[in-house]
Amino acid sequence: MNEINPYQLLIEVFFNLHKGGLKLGIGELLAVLRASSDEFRMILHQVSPGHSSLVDDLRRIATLLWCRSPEDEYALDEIWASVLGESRAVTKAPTLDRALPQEQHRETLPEHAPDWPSRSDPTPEPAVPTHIEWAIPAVPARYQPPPPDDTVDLHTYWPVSRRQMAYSWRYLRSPVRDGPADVLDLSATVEQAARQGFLLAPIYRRRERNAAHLVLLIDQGGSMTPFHRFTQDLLETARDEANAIERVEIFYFHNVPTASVYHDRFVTEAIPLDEALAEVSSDTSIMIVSDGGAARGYRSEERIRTTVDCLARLKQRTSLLAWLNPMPQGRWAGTSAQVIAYLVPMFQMDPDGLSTAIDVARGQSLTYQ
Amino acid sequence: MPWQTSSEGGAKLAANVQFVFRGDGSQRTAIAHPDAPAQPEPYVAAAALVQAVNLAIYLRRPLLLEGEAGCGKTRLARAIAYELGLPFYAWYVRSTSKAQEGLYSYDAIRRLHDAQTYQIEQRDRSIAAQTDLPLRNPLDPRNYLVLGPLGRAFMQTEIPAVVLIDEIDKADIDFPNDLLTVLDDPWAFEIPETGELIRAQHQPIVIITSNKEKGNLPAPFLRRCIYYYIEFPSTPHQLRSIVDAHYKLGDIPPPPDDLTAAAAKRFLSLRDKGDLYKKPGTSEFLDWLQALGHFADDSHVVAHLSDSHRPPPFPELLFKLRADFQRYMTTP
Repeated sequence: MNEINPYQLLIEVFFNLHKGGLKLGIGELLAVLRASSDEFRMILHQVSPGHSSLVDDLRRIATLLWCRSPEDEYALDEIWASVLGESRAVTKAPTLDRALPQEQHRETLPEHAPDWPSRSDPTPEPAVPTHIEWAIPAVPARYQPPPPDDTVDLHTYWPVSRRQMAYSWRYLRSPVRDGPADVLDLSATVEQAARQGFLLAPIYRRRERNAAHLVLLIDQGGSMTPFHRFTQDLLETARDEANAIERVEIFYFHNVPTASVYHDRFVTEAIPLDEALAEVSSDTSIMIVSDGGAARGYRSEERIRTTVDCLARLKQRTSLLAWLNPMPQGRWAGTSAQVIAYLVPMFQMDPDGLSTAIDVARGQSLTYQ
Repeated sequence: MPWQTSSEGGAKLAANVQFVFRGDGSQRTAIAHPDAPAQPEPYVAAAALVQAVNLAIYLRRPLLLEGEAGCGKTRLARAIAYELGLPFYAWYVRSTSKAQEGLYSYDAIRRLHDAQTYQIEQRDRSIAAQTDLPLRNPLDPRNYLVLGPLGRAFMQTEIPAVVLIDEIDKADIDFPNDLLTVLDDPWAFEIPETGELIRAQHQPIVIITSNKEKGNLPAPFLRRCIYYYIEFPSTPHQLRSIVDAHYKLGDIPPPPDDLTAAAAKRFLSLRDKGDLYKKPGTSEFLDWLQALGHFADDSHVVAHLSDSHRPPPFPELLFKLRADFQRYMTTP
């Protein structure tokens, strides 16, 4: 136990966690080291009596400083146990008879990625006859599934987080000063008071309002089913978040927007496309969210033809048109989406793609020609 | 001990003292900062939470608390301030809050008004005498400065303050990032109106609560914080100690022991069953227990509570959703 250098251990856990995707800076590592001073450990032992080693204290401090959710704490526990187990195995090895073969044995083990650390057992294995054991190929530690959390929160693939969406939508704005006149214009007030020689009344300006008009056309059902969560987040952030766009109209369609689209996400209340686009002017941004057939993975001429028709009708009204594809760009090749991408600026749904799509939809694109 | 009695007889602060929170209010002395909470705060903190608080005090990093509604996130800050006798400033964040409001606000219009009337009043002192209000000198912009909770905490010259930033996720999406620049080295902010630079002599102890109403907080902010998730008490014994802590201070007589035990057991079984949409929290339990102790018929209530087939008494204190209410109240 004493042979393990606790700081070495801490640093190793830190790098493993960092590799695992936890956003930590060197400052956080230094903070743990600062808190592991004797002074603070004395406080720890004061408030919760009972013997605990430096390693235990370090782990407690690291958990508090590095983890941001119960899931993070679980990941840290796992990595800590595995690193501790390894370093114990290494330090204990020379005391065992078969130290040398074990060292070689360890080297032949493939370096497993610390994505899901296997729990290596720190207790020494029972003695086995030395002449046969090393012929057996290395068996990796058995995978142990994590214990079920009481909060059902499945770890899934998130192309864009809700926060990123809310941020990106902020760039879709066309501010107009026509709100209530309740914003104090300080410099104008002072200037007027100086000019008149006395203060008559403070000067108020009209509040700025985001007059952007957004039409979201969302593909619903079928191949888009796995992405409903994201399209829902997308429209909620556009519509409801603070500083949201004032006018957001949302219409749904199934596979391809045809002569009619739908009001509700269960695609039951149909509305003719022309009627849906009645208020669309040249300042309106239209964003289409659909996989464009990329999820199915083949090219359908009929799909392309219908889409082309629809795009032509949209382009008659506004050129601020962008297409968000939840399928990654690598999957568009050979599908209808590849053809459609030539006709309309199409972006994959990741943070970069979303912000570029919004740039295009507001008519200020930097990258897209 | 933060406070020491100096040889001159007055209360004085020991320099460079390390504050240690024990979580039982035992360190509170008669001498406390005037802004410290005067009322004792009944709070039962888990050992791990006490450690987290001490780590936050030691490193002076913000302590971010998450957990179910009603599990004592907001109360903790007051309990810390009470126990250590430190000044306490609470900032209840609203959806329109801006980071600057926590630091200061500046009343420019009043200054302009005063500048207009100042000369007249100077000329004619009798007007000022009539109103018997002190004359604000508009030449000094500091007369028009009002410090917010964080601003006041930064002005402490002798001891650090405890600042509660409640429900940080209610505010705008940029709010935590704006705060971050203040709650970090060099712990200072500027007031352009007066040209002052306020630098904290004692870095405040910052307690932040959040309930993830609007998704996650930004990563750089989380990186700075010490994170602690307050678990709901899972054993009748823990609930018991919370009840004891609450009734120890008040004038209200505590409910009988068997009632508390039966109520805690029933309450936990309701929560653990897992079919409620909104689980009741600690504060609801305390209210419920008080109702049981005061209004229920003593002889029957314990038996009633123990019978899991009967709907619990005073359901209106436990179930806050119609679906939950109906589930328990309609079953025979």
